[in-house]
Amino acid sequence: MQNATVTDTRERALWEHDHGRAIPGALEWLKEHWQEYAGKWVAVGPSGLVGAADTLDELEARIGHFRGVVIDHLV
Amino acid sequence: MIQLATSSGEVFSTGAATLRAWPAIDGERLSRVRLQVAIAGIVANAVIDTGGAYLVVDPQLARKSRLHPPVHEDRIVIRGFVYRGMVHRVPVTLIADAGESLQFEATAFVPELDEGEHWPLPSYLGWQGCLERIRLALDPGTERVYFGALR
Repeated sequence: MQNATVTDTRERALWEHDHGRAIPGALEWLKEHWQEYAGKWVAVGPSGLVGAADTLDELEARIGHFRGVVIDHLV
Repeated sequence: MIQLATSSGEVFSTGAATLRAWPAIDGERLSRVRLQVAIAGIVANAVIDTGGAYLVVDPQLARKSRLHPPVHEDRIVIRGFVYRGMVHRVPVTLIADAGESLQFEATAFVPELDEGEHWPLPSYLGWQGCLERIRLALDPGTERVYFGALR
């Protein structure tokens, strides 16, 4: 299995993203924490929050790219 | 994964994802079901809204997704407000955590906002031009969403 060699959570998230697989745990983290980040754009990976910002441009500048994360605007 | 089938034995769903729901906006009481979707390469959450139209994409997200040129302009009413925007054809992928992710072409609406105005709602998967093009089933008992292509 190709993904059996991927052990680091960040690497795993990138693999999941590139292969069209859901980022594990992201929805659970968002369901638990969305009110704490109301109004923010957030990027969430398998280990939780990767970054938060007022705009998507700021979020991209902060985290570098959108691979391996789920983006949400918590209005 | 559990693979749903029609009464004739035809496969209904080829992929499944976790069902999670929380309110669409802060201060709202009713929960909305979210799915992870890839819109032109960016993975984002979108709300399932069978009462809505189009795949409505937050303008900030649309700008990053580099959508194809618009095909026409439209106006739609959302929560009592009329929004003007551009309509695009967009490749969308419902992202599975079991089975296969499902890619299809959706008709997307990107609201045009005034300078400094922010889109006040999540991106969402509406019925017309979007969910009507796929098979979709929700099981709150097992917290699973099932999807497959229309044949």
